[in-house]
Amino acid sequence: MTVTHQLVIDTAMTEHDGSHPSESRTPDKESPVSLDPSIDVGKAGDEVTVLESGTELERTIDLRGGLAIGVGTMVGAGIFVFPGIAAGNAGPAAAVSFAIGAVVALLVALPTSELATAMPKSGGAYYFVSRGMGAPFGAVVGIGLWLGLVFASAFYLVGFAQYAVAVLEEIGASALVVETVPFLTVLGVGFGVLLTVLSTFGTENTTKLQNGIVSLLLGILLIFLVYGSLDTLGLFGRETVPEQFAPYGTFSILTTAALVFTSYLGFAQVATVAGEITKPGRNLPLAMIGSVAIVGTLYVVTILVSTGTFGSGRLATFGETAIVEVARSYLGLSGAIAILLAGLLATVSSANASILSSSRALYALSRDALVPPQFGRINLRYGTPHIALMLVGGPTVVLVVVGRTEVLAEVASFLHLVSYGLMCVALVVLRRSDPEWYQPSFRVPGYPLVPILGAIASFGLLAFMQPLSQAVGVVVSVAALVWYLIYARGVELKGVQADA
Amino acid sequence: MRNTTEVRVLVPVAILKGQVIPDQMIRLLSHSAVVLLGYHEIPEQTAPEQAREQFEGKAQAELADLVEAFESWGGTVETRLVFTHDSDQTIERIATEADCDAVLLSNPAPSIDRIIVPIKERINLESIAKVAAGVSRQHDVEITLFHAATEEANVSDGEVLLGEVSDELTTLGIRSDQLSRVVVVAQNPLQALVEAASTHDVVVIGEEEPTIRGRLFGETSERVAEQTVGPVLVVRRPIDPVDDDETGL
Repeated sequence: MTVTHQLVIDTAMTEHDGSHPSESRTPDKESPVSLDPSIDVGKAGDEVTVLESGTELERTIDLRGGLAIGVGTMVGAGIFVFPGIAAGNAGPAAAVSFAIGAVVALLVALPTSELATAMPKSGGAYYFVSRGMGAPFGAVVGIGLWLGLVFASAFYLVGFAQYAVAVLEEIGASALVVETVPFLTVLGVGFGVLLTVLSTFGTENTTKLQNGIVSLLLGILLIFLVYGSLDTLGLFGRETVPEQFAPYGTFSILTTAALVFTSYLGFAQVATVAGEITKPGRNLPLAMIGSVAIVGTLYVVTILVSTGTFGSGRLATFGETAIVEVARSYLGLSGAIAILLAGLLATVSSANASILSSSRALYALSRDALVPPQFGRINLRYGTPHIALMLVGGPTVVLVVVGRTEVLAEVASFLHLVSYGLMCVALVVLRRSDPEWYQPSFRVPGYPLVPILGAIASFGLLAFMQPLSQAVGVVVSVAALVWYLIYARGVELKGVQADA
Repeated sequence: MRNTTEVRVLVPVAILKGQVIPDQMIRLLSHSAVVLLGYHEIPEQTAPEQAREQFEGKAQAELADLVEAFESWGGTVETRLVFTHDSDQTIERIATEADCDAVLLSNPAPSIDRIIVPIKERINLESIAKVAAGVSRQHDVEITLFHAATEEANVSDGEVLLGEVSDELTTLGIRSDQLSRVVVVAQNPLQALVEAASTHDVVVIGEEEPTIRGRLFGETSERVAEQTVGPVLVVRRPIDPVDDDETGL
């Protein structure tokens, strides 16, 4: 018995030495901040990261929590906002669009997993790309992620407002909804402000809530989809609305895939909490790939069921809350109410998760002095990064006011896809330069094919977006680069192999 | 190998939150091996490394002050500093890693003269005795062994139980004039314990359940810590991977 305990102590002690091989790399004294991953990655254990100073960072998010972050961030969009819009654009073949999105997401999730296990740090994509390819690319990705998540949060909030309005209509309070458009905006903005304030001052642990919400959502969806699938297959004698599978042609499938890719923006959020996940070597890849697989399956089935119920033309007329009508047609009023509630929960949890991830991206940038260090400050009283949260919440509510659902979604996807593509490239760069500190515990299968395909697919999808979204996306990326050149040109990241 | 009579005590401190370890408690622990755990709990919105960057220096300074306080009483201290979202998980992990016999749930303690050791059942008695003896041996403190029976018929069982612990303590070097035994009959044993504890300065109590992640300490010790004014030393149950169920240890 004592022997067992002694062994535990011994491992703990070795962790304390910090004597991992990479320590021998000497830090560059001239750089303003100590950024060499080999120095500050620390020793990542299963439950704790032990830093050189002996200080420990506890890992508290298990696999279930990781999956909840991934699924919780993603599921809001694909099921509760997009089915009507997507079916209007591509017909029943929108299911293929979602499947394409899932494949692209998986092609990126695999390389992301490898990078995250090698660098289990906050900041996710920004950290990987800046360490793999240098500060300019890092700036594009970091700023792109910050604003990409701002666009995504605004998109989720608009979706949330639509559900809130639908709920009001359902309970007969539609008299309140006289002028629908400003009312939507007020709801979206109000909740955007509320979420930001809650994130800033709330010290409650939200993980358990998030886990609960995701479980509840999956439960509701499962009942609905299983029933719907059986019915669509004709088991209960219902006639499927007969229709051509791809009435708007192949090109529309691809443009729809680009549009709905916003539904897959959550898996990389798992990487932004890579420093807090237990057993990162195992749980990070499982959480990322698992959450993409779960939501991808749900999306495809949802589209098939929805289009089978109404036909894509009619489905499109229901707009963002189309899925409620589908549920109503199967399970009556109770089904509609259940899905409405699920929609509220899902969109709000997606918005919340995105706001939090976005503030992490800002923190990672500020740590490297690519943005003013104040952005990463946290207040002692609440322990939250209040400035970063304001810098996320503020622009988000502005976008809720001015944005259109589809453009918000596409710009969010655009900025993420740029980051995803660059992550895949960063993986190839890191594998080729093979720095001493790069020791991922998960290695991407099918290297180099998977990351190369991931990069091509990510950049490829950009071509199928609306011109307006592409223009906004390009402007943001270029602006990020200009910001870097003006503000942070002198910043030198340590451990970046391009400089070595 | 470590000294088998030496007691290792984990002292968790919510560093940066102004939590103090009472001076008298530090004195009481001066003959034990203390593992001082400074932890800073941060909400999930914040990355632990983010908090670490900003607060590490301050936390280390506070920890150093505490170490000084322990050393001024002649104690030996090793320190850990952890930034975490979940302090229970952290305390549990460090207690296991550092092989601690007991965990201190700190409350103010103006003076420490009387220690109460509630014994509920024949579980973990050896460790409880070891910890009680370890912290008391070098000090002039009274130890009250306490058992609350739910009905009159069980009083004699309780007396036998306390007798065993008393013998064990004597073997471990506690003078019999330091020891007293109390068995009460009470509908609500927890309430009876809280009342008895109010005339004592420190509670030494066994952990209820074998520790499972997330269920730290078990209900009784936490509630005792909440309801009594003094510090509570929770004696951990040895986690025996092999024969826990058969021998009942």
